[in-house]
Amino acid sequence: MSTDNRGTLFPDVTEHYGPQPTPIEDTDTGSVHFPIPDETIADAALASSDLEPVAADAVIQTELEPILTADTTGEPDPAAPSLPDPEAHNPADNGEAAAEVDPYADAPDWVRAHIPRGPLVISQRSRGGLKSAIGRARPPRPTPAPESAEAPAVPVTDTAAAAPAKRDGDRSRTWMLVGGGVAVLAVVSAAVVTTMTGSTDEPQAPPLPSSSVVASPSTTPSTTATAAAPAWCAPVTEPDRIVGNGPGGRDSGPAVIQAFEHAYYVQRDGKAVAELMVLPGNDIQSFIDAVPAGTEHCVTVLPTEDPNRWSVDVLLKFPPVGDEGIHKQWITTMPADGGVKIANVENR
Amino acid sequence: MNNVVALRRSPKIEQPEHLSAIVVAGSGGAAATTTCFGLATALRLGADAQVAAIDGTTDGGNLLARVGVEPIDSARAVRQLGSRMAVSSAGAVVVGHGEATDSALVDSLLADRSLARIHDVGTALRARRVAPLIEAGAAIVVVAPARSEPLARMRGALDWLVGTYGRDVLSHTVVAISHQLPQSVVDLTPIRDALSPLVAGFVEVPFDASLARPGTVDHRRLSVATIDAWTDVLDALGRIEAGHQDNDTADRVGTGELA
Repeated sequence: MSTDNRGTLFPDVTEHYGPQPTPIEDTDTGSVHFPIPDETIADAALASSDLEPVAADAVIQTELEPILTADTTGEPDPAAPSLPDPEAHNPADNGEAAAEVDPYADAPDWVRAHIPRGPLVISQRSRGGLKSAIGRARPPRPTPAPESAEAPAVPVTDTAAAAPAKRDGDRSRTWMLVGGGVAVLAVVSAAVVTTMTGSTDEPQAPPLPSSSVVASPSTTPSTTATAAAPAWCAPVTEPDRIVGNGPGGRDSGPAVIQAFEHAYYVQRDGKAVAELMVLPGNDIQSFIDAVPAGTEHCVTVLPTEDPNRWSVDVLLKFPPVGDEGIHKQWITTMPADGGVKIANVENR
Repeated sequence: MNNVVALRRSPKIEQPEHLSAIVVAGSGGAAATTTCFGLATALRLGADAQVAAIDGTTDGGNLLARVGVEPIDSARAVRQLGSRMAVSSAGAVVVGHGEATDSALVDSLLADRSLARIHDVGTALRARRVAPLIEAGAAIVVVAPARSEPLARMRGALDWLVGTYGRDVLSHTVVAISHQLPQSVVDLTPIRDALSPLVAGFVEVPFDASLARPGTVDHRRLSVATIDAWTDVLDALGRIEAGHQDNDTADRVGTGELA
């Protein structure tokens, strides 16, 4: 699931921080992408918040405030470089930028937010490198924020650009060496393994257990959790909880309940079901036949205060796509015919 | 809203003891734990129901530490859950995180005691152990904070649900967006418009300073608006449950009463 706007459920939304409006011109050019029209809606909806008085602490986060600061001081603020947004104009240009901004000083926020950043944009776009290529390949940019955020790279031009490249080169060479070493090691170990195991044609993995008779390891799910093998209906036999889908028996309540459900869903045999019931009803076979063939079941039996009454959950997995359902039942058992039988089944 | 008449309205859930819901998040910090607590609290207060909030996270959530304020009396304790049980300030049973917890087992243990169950699954939506609950028809409450990127991840979670359980899964899914800051930075209208026809409910939970604060949460400090929003989620869960009972009836006709 990517966070691209390809999701079918709903479009991405844009975050708005404080009174700074999102530029409108971007929305005009953004017909290619979904999120951008949505920004228009959001802008319209948030119009009232734009009219709110500017909070003192929120102003720091607007793009233009630092420029005004520079205007009053007349020289670069030493604190300014630590702020992300003021970096939109590099320190050397600060005085000039301040002069440019002057005519707009009295303009409302939304006008000042639209002052073109021509030189910056051009220098950013005309510079080579992967990032700018990607930037050009992407049709519209949703907001000017990324440009201003990337701007700090502008003042430290060639030297800075070259230095990381060189470091990257060193690093990549190191990694090539490491990678080569790993590759050699892998080849050698693979060769060793094949020579050692090649002589025996035995399969490496034991055969998977069948789904109805789950092997004993699955009673400790934590150790087998990584395997794709079924967590579905791993048998559990505890005093307070019996889970499984095996053939059961006649010697206890939970056993006969398992036998009952097994006869119903696995054997699909109305007669076998009836034999497990004290008072079998009619048409059992027709009920069974109504269940899609291939339905898997899983029985969970929990004791109740009444030793003959059991709280039973039958989880069902229906064949085509594994749609599942659950039947919640109270099942009453009673001793009969030299064993235990089902006396009553109620929906719970 | 007639909040002049009643500060706290009752959730429209016919049989709270049949409610089994999981609270899941597409991302961390999405308020899954507080939503789980909130739903249990609103159900307890609004319907006077017996309810359990269960920590079903993979790696040890803090539900018990956050909202379990009193020891549970021994008559109500479930042996298997032993020391992990407590009671919240509103009287909801709280079950903390345990090693190798089988969510379905905990659910059935508590269901047998006629407790409504609300599981805080956190981000473990895709965990195998959660599947039995979803497969058994537990309602799903998908939570996200009202921020752009987490909302996109919530969409990923919803997409995953649809891809795994089919589109029907949305009909028993409620989306709850929690506002974790006093003012919203996103406009949720497009999301609400897109999801409302698909899911069982779309609810915004307003910012509540008492939830934002670390430490134990006491329901008496919650705002009425917050509890109302959770009650809206419960209403949606009630609608899901009502739909389920119809389906159950249909099932019974189809497959007979035996099994």
